[in-house]
Amino acid sequence: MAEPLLRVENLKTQFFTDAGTVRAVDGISFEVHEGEIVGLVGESGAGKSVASMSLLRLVESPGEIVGGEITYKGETIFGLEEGPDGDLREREDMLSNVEMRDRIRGNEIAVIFQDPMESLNPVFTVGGQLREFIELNRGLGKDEARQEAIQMLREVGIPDPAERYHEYPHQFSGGMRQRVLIAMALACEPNLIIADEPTTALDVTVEGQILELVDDLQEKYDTSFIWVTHDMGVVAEICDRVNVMYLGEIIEQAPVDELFHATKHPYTTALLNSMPRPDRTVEELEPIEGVMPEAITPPSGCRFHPRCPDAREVCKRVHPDNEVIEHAAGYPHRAACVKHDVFDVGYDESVPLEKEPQVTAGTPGGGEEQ
Amino acid sequence: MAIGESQLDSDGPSEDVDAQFGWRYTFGKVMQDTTARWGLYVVAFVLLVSAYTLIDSNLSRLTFGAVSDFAAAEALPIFEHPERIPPPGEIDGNVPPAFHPDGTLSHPLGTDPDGRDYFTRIVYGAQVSVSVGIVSTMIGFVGGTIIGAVSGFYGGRVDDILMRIVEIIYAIPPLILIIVFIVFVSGGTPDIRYAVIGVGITFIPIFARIIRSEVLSVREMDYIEAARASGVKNRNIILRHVIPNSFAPVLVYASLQIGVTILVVAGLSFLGFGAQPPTPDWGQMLNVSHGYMHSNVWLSIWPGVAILVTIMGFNLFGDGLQDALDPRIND
Repeated sequence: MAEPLLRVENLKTQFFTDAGTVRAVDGISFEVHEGEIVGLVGESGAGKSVASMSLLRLVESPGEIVGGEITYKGETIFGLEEGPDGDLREREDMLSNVEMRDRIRGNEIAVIFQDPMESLNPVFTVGGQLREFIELNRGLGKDEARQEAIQMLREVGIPDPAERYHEYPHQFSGGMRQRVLIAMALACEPNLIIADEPTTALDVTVEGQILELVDDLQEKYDTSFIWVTHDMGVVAEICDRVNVMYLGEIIEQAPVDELFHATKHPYTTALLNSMPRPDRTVEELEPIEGVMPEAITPPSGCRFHPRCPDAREVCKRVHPDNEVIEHAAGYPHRAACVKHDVFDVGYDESVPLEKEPQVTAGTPGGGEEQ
Repeated sequence: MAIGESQLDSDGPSEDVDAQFGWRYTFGKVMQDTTARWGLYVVAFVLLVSAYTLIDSNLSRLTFGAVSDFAAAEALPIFEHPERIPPPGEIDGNVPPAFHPDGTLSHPLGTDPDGRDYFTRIVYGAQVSVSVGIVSTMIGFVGGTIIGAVSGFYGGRVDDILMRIVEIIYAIPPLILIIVFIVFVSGGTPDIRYAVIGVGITFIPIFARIIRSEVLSVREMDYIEAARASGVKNRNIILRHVIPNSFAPVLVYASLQIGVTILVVAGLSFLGFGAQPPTPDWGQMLNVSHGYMHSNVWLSIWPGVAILVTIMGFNLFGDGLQDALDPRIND
């Protein structure tokens, strides 16, 4: 297989707060190939957004990327090495902040944000912002950039782009604004777009239109996407491969069909059972019990075990890595659950855990680890 | 200052159509409010008068010289020609205003103790006061905006250092700070320029704190994050995204501050630290005239009225601007 566009290995991002170290992203690995839409799915607080911001090295203090490696097109966005004094230090081939800003952000990797209402500057016209962005990143003259901006607005399906070019963000509807943001992300023809829950703030019909638009544009420009969402429906609609995140870890990774039809991790199963699906008729949906614990004190062993219907005693002790369970459609299907034979830690002999009555945030677990 | 200006320039041409709409809208709002409208009229009148003093060179001669300068008096279009011009020796100053039995129409407001026409001096004083007010406020405004925006945007250590400096300035009583500044910088010969700069500097903290508090909320907005994610330099983020979105409250404050500045500089001139004779600053005129309180009370009243009216104008206008720019008051 060709070298992937983006390779993330064992990425760790932590927030150093007064209450302790929040391990928002705790050793995730995934790849994005050219022309692929990769999903990043999980509940709120699973670390999806932090992970995607880490890819651009835009984690703000007190957050910090503390480990792992991010490689984009063979260039190191983030990498550590051991220095002469034994401390970890940033690798020399890592891109500098200036290079990240001038070459990567916007030009190579663009972001579409969650809230289209808030992502445009309210004091400038939509066209002006788009034009400026194109001017900055592509080095075009003012008039050329203006033509290009109007062309982009037309491309994303905004009627009357020459007129609307002069309007302010508040004169646009939510769906229209999201289209503008997509236009902005596409304007510099980046190779990778990180879409951070771009349709969450929109209603379902508009969401459908936007997904269709993205599908069309993706085909046309052959851009890769990292699609961050908590909506399995959107995943099924748009993604080629999916990473399911739970508490800072990727717990299942599979091509989209595999994920839905040969689910390997109980968390993914629970996620799928908790929402209506067109291919299944059920009396009642099953919600996942409890809430996700805080990432300061993750549960011992498998992090999902306090909420897992299949949890056994061994799950409390053994922390499963994300291992390859199967191969499907040329891609590995990975899952981090010890019930699979690959792990061989005695799941079958282990005693099933008694359901704790109420599992809430701050469940006693691994304890403070600094 | 240069940064602030270039930033404003760069916005201008590209979004002019809509920007005009915005200004026109605000202007319309101000005009709807009766008191604000009168404030605007007064401000406009004072601005026009001070502009006139720049054009009319004869006025300037008359202002600085005694009325014995006949040629200048005759060339001056806005005054009636003197019917009886006293020979230079006869002038002991203090000609009372025109409505006084001893007054003459050629000097509608009388003359000062040195025999200079008081009306022209008041008119000329408008130029001094307005430029002083605007320049001083601009110094505080631009300085405060940059410091506050940088401080609020970067946060952390930068914020700590800048805000502590600002607080130190803030903690010193302004008048004392300004006087010490003038004494130090002028080296014993006070001048209105030093007063203007000193006043400007003492106003930096107020502006910095106002804009910082705005920036703290603006910097969390998604469009700032979006700008960062699309590779915009921090400097451009501050100039293009942070400052324009934190602008409205400082703009209002600046319009109110012009009045305060005029008052403070007038006070400094009164104390002898501002405009020096023969510059006809209103405050300095008050300083001279307070010795003549008994013989000619009008000498104190005219500059006082001028200061009062001007500051009222700026304040009423500022209040109106505040209402016009505040979305909570608009419906």
